[in-house]
Amino acid sequence: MSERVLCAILTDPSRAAHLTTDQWTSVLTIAHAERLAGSLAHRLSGLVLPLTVQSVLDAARLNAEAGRAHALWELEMARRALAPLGCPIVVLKGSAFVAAGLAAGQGRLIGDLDILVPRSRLDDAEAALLAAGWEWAKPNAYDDMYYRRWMHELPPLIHKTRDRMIDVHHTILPLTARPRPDAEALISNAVVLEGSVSILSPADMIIHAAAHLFADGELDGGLRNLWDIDRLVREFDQGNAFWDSLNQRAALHHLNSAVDRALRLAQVLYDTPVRTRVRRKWTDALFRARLLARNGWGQNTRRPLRFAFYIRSHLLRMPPLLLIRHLWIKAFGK
Amino acid sequence: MMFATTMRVGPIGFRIGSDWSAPIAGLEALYRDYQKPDDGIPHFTVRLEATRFWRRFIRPSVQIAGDHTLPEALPLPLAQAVLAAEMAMNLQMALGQRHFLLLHASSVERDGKVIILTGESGSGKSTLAALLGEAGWRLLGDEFALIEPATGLAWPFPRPISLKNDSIAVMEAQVGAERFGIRICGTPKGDIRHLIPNVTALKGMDTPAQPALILFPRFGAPRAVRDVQPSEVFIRLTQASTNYVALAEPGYTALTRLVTQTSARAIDYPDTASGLALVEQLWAELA
Amino acid sequence: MACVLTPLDSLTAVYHRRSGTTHLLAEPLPEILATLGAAPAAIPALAERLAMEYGLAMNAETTALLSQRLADLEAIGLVWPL
Repeated sequence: MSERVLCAILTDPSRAAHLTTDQWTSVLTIAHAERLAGSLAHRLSGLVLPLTVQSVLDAARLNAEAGRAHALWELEMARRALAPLGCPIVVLKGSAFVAAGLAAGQGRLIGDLDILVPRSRLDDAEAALLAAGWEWAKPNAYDDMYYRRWMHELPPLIHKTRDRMIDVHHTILPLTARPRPDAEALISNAVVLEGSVSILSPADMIIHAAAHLFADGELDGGLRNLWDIDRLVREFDQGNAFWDSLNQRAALHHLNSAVDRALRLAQVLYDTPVRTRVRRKWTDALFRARLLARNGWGQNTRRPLRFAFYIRSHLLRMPPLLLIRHLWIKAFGK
Repeated sequence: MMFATTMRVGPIGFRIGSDWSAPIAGLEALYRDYQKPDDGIPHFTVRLEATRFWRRFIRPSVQIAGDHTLPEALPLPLAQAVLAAEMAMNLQMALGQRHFLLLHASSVERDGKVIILTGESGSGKSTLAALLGEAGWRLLGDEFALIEPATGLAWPFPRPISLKNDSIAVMEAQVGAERFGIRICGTPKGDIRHLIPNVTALKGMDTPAQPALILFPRFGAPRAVRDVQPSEVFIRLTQASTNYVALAEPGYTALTRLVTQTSARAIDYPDTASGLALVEQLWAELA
Repeated sequence: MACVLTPLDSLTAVYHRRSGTTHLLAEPLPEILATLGAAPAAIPALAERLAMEYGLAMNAETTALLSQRLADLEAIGLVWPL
């Protein structure tokens, strides 16, 4: 219930004028739980709000700004370390949004630095980062093998003194996943920001966000991811050419289904103006319910539904026998 | 959440929810003389949750959750739930506070000026502050000192003081029983008992004051006083701050102003009586 | 200004805005940062400015030391060769 209020005021800030104190309490709690507090602060800036709400949102805004500065610095340090490679570095996700000054970056909380490099340069990139002060975050031989064989990225690296993580991708979905995006096309279509640093093209950026949202399967943080997509669509929509490009690129990466579903859900939650035909699916309602499964105290609700999505997420990533063993250990083990 | 309470401590409002009624009753006893959050809206929400549904009843243990959490936080037994709530409130401040520079310190005020006592657990800062609070000083807080970046002022945050082991008896000898929470035994730090701040502290909850002296106390050593240079104070205070880095430039401004404009001394004292005497002496020397 | 410099005692606190990092530096590092903050400079020009402003001696030894100190500052991310 309160989650819908959050979505409503993110979409139309003027509706915040009608919130009761109890609704404010719930909305702020859910915004924190969904990592949308900074975005909410940005959307409501300039409005007259209860003092406590203003104070909480100011803190969220300051938090996002400090995070933005750290993220851009981390990108700069990675750029310096990888400069000798002479290859393009495509920065992804939140770091890309703030580096490019996009609306999706305003108020956004950013985690690790995610970059995409050509698969052929992965070993060089690894060596350069290790030489420049990064080290493996999880020193475990089995995890390492799993990562290198099956995942779309190097095992996570963390910087020794700055204590911040970098994820180096060579494609955007695990190699075992069924849709196989075209990594070379992502890189060749990338847009140069400055020097060796690029970002994905507008269409590819939205496609990546959609793939990331659904490929993970659990949909944790889904409200935030769909907000990213809403902001990206509104910023990049310049007419028919944009929508044609989006459909074409989605087809190229075999991700039409994910993109369509992302657009439908963003439209339901945030009134995203979607100017292309998207076929509805009966499962949309389940996804929507899963996305809105949080109460006014910030707790996850609807356990069976969440468990169903948890299983689904692993089905996407693991063969059935491994999955059964994994779930057995998770439920009863340790 | 089935049971809940709210309170305001200094400038910060909290909301606490719980799967059990006992912790809420315990908190309402400790906070009975505190105001409610301004606007009826808390700054931070905390939850005391059962890890699994059956854990509400069978070997109940409390998992801390809320707006700001640490994923590795371990659950506590239900008997220590009030402690869990206090820890959770500390976490909200440590991870979420952006308007004040936080120092892990006790602070007391007199004549509009503040002494900040900072050091590790066991340094005696909480006990000294509690005793000073009963000896003519106003307690601003025992866990966090709040420094406002724009003005450099220290703002009150007087939560119930967490007394440990021997300190409990020291304060029980000074103060009436109605000011104490229940005794919680068997915690990782030994026995703990909360002391509710007195009327002076609670009434002065909205009155900030100017830092005038920073002390680094060390309990259980022969009496000694040493000047501490600004660069050393700076380093020690960044280590004592949970949000210095997060505050960015305003944090740097607040801390450099504090260390360049405030005297600092390291004091060693063998027992609380000499500790108190030393504080009063250094205070008199400041004037 | 890329850095905020605050003299404390024999050490100077330095806040580097872009990275959000704080450092405590001893002479002549703060002086080097202050001089470079005014304008980028090659090592000879930097040595000259430091000699003029802070009375630091100018000879082969100090120039070599200057290169080393710049390398230190580069390692912590405070300066970057153009």
